[in-house]
Amino acid sequence: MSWPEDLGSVHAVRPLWASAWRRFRRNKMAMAGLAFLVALVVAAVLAPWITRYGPTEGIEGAYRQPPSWAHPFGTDKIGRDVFSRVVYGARVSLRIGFASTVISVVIGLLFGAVAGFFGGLVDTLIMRLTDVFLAIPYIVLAIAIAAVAGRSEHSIIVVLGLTGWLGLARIVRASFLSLKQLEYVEAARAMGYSRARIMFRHILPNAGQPVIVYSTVLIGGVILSEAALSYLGVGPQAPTPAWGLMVSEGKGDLARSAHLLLLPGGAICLTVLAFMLVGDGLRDALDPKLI
Amino acid sequence: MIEFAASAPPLLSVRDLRAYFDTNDGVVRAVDGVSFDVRRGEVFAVVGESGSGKSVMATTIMGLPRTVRIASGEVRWKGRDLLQLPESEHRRIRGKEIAMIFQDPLTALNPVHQVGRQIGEMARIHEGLSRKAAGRRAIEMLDLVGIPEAAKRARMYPHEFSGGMRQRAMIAMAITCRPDLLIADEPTTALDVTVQAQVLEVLMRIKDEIDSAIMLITHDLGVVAGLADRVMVMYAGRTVEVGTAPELFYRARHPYTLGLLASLARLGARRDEPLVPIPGAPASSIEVPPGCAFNPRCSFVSSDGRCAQTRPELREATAPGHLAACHELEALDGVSVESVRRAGTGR
Repeated sequence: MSWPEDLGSVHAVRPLWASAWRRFRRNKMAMAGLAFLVALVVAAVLAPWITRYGPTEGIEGAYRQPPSWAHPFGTDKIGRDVFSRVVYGARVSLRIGFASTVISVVIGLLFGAVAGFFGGLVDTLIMRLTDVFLAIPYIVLAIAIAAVAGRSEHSIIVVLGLTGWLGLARIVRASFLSLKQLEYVEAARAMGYSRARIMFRHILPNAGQPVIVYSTVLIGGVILSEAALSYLGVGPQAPTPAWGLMVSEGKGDLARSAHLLLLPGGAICLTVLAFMLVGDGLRDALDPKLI
Repeated sequence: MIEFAASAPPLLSVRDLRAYFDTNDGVVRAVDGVSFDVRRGEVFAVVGESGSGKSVMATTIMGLPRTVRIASGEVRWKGRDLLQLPESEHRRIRGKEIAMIFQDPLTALNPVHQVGRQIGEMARIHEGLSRKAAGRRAIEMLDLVGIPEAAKRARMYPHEFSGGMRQRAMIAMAITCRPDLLIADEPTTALDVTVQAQVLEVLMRIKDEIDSAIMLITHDLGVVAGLADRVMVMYAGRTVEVGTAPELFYRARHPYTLGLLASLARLGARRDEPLVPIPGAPASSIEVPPGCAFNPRCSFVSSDGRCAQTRPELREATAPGHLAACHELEALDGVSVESVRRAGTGR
C-alpha cells in the first residue's frame, strides 16, 4: 500500500532543544550571562586550586591591603585574602541558590499542578495558602527560624526554599488550567492513564518553559536574598566566606578600604545579573511561538 | 424499554442514557434518552448534526466529561454497568478494552513526547511491557497503520508528522492493546478529503485485523454509507432512527433522516438543481420542545397535535431491528427520499 504524501524522504530527528539552543546562542547578553555563570561555577568547584590562601586563613602583617599582585582583591582587617573569600563565597552562594530553588521548584510544581489540575476546593485551599505565605515577609520568617534553629546555611536554604515557591505555584497552576483543556489531555484520559501520570507526564512537560525561565531567575533572586540575610546577620556564621557577610563586615571601612565592600558586592551584582540575563534568554529561546 | 433483535449478547449496551449539563442558562440536555447496542465486530455509525449530542454520548461512555450529570441510564459493557464502576476500574477498561480516536489529530497527540513513546505508553500501562518491548510494539503498530519507515518515524515528534500521518499515529495508539471497541469521534473531519479516504481505509483494515467493533461518530452520511453495518441517527440528544445501513439508506422512515438524505448533494444531478435543506434551525438543547424534538421543522406533523405533545418512542419501522421514533410512521409508509427532495425543490 502506498501513501502519496509519504514519498518524501524522512528527515533526521531533531530534538526540540537543538533549536532552542540555536536561538539562545544568538542572544549576546544571555550568552555573556551564561559565560559568567560557567566561569563562576568552575571557579567555585576549583577554588582550592585557583586561590593561594584559604578563605579563613589570616596572613600575618597583611591587614586591610588594597588590591595588589599578591592579593588581587586585597586583604581584610584581619589579614584574610579577599579574592580567596570571594571565590569560596561563590560556593556558598551557589549552594544556597540551587538548593533552595530546588526546594521551591518541587513545592511549587506540586502545589501548582494539584491546584490547576483538580481545581475547585483544592485549588481554593492551595491558593489561599500561598496568599498566607505571601503575607509573611521572608526576612521576618528567616529571623524567626534562625532564632529557633540557629544561624546556618541550612536554615537559610530552608527559609528561602519555603518562601520562593509561591510565584512558581501560581505560574504552574495557570499553565495547568489552560493545558488541561487540551485534547491530548482528554486523549490521555481516554487511554486510561492515572491522574498522576496525566499531571506529571502529559501536562507538566508542556508547562516546562515558564518553569525553567522562572527557576533560573529565582536562583538569582535567592542569591540576592541570601546576601541580604547574611548582611543582616541571619545567615551563615562569621568566618564563613558568604558574600553578604563580607559586605556587612566591609561596610565599616568604606572610607578607607572600599574594596572590602565593593568586590564582594560586585560579585553579588554580577551573579544575580547573569542569572537574570540567562533567564531572559531562555524565555525567548524556549518561546513555543517562535519555534 | 425497547428490545433489540440480537442473537449474541451485545458488546456494549446503552439504555436510556441521559447526560445533562447544568449551566447558568438552564439544563442542557446534551444526551436525552439514547438506547442502542453495539455488537462484536460491527461498524456502528452514529450520525447527527453539530450539537446533536454524539460526542458527549461517546465521551460519557468513556467516562471522560468532568462536568456532565448523568441523569439516568446504564452503559453495559460485557455485562457490567460502566457508569457504576469506580474510576480505578473504569480506567483499566479505557484504552485497553474501549479505545477512542479523537477528532483533531493535530491537538490529540502530546507535542513534547516522541510519537513512538506515546504509542508504547499504552502497552506499558495496560500490559506492563518493558520500555524496550513497548518501543518494538509502537513500531509494529505504526507499521500496521501504513506509516513507512516506522522505526525512524517512531522517534519523531508529532509536529514533524503531517495531518494524515498524525491521525494514523492516533489510530496506532488506540489499537495498541487490541481493544474490543474503537470509538472514532469524527476521525476524518480535520483532514483533507483525499487523506480522509486513506484514514478510513486504514481504520477498516485494522478493524478486521484486530477484530474489534467500531463506533464511528460522524456528521458525514457519505462516510457512513460505504462503511457502516448499522446506523443510528441522533437529533437533539435523542435517537430518532436506528437500523442496518441498507434499511436506513433505502427505507428511511423518520422525517429527519429523510430530510438529511434529501439534502445530500448528488453526483450527476442537474447543474441548476438546488440543494434541499431541512427548514428551520437545529433544536436548542436547553428548550427542547415537549413532544418530538424535530416537530417544529417537520413537514409530516400529525393533525391531532401528538407530535407537539408527547414524545415518540422508538418503534419498529420496516424490518426487525429498524426502529424509528415518530408518531406518523404509518403515514410515512411510501414516502421516499426522492419524494422529499421533489417536495423541497418544488419540482
